[in-house]
Amino acid sequence: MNDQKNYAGFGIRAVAFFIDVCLGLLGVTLTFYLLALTAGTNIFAFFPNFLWFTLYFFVVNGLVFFFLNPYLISIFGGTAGKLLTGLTIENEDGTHLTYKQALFREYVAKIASNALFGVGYFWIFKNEKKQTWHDMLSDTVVVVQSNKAALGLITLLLLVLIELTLGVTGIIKFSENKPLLADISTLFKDIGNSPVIPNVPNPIAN
Amino acid sequence: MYTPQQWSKLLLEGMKTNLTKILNEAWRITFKNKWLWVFGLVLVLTSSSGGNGGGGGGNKNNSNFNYTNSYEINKSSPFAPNPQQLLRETSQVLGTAAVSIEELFQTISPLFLVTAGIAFTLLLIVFAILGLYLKAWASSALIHGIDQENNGVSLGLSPMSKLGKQKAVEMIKLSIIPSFITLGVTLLVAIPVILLLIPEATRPFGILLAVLVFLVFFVVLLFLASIVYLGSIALVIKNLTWQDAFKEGYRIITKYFIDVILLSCVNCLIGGLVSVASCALIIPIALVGFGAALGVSTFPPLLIIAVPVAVILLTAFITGIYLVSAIAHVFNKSTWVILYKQVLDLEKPKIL
Repeated sequence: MNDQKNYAGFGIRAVAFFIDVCLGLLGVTLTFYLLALTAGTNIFAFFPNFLWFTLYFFVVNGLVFFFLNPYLISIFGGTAGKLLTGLTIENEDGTHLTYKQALFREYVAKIASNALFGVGYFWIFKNEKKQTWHDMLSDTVVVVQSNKAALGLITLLLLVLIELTLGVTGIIKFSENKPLLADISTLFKDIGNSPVIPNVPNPIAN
Repeated sequence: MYTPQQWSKLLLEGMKTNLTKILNEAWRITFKNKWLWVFGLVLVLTSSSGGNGGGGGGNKNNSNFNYTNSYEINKSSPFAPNPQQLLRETSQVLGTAAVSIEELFQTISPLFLVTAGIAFTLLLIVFAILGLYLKAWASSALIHGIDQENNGVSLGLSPMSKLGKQKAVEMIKLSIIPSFITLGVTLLVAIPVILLLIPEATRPFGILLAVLVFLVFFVVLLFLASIVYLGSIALVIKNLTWQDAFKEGYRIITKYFIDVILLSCVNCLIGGLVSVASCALIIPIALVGFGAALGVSTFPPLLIIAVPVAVILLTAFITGIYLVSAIAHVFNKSTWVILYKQVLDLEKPKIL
């Protein structure tokens, strides 16, 4: 039974992985672009939006993907990247993972794979079922259901292009916003000059 | 009076387990099944994150101290303007100036503060649970792997992980509940003592009592940590609940006190040697780095070679240190597992 399975190799899994990374960053670059669009010309209008962006970047985005990815794996058999490249993550007997199993695979077992600069990922080349360390730790395999490597590559390229466009346009918009830049540079100068530890005049010298 | 040699002879005679056998077997197991190192790596990762957190706390306290201190100096000096006045004056010189920082923070809406509070709390909870689970799972899996290796069965990653998952929740309970109870009780005892101490703080009696309270607190925590550590081994090997494992840990420590103390000393010594060996790794790398810096300063185009070499060296260094720590972790755990198994063997009823 196992011999008939077409286990996914390193290349296609890497494409799926980078699609997931790009999808994770898409929300961030989109928010950054919107921030640049709605920045306004003074720092008072910009600052609240900037705080929301920071909150989204550091917390919300991470939390959403933290819960979303295991959900996708348990329901559809893979994260968005894996599904787009035609891969599914399954138990060795071919069944779908439960939510708990998926959570374990993504956030506990993957820590082992990431240790020592990701040596666990390269175990694909040594294992006959092309399992990484996190696959072995969670008793899972990644199987090619239908080879969509080309579609995956095109999606990855498109995502990279979209994110680069959004990011670069956002940066250009910011660099063109001279009044806001002047406000920010004044603010930074103020922070540099702010009297956190004020100079106490020396009474003896006076 | 006993000489150190006589002391060590007495201690070794007092041991009920065989220290040489423990160390030999731990060494064999550590290098026989290298899959154990994976769990060692995870455990090294989880223990290093705790240490960094502590360091951060120290810095925060320091900065608070300086700030308050400077403010107090300012207030007390009749020649010094107060900070508010300085802020106002700076703003007059610099245009938009320091007042705008205050105004900027006034633009933060309550909705943002509430959302940020909830989001960060959720994030902290997620990280705390993840960290606890990770440590409990890796620890259980490692103990099971060592136990089986000692029985002559080499396990792969999957069976070790499976047992780790089964035991993780009970292991978390074992590491959290007794600690909370003991900390609570100790604080309850310590608070009246501290209140009593405040008026006596500057007198020698007060200082002595404070040192005594601190020492008692430290010994209690150390004792508790040892019970939990040995209890966790019993939990996996004998398939116990956390309560029974805690009792078993206590029983082993009290009954085999000398064995536990001696093995702790030996492990501390080995840990120290590993640290020294890791530090020794820095010397050749530093020499190479110094040579490269000299080379680049005399012939700048060498930078093209120096940068990748530096990256490779740094990566190799981190990998080396990390791997050595993981192996040391596995060895340390193996010694305790084998000690516990020897204890179980000693307590087996002898059939004649």
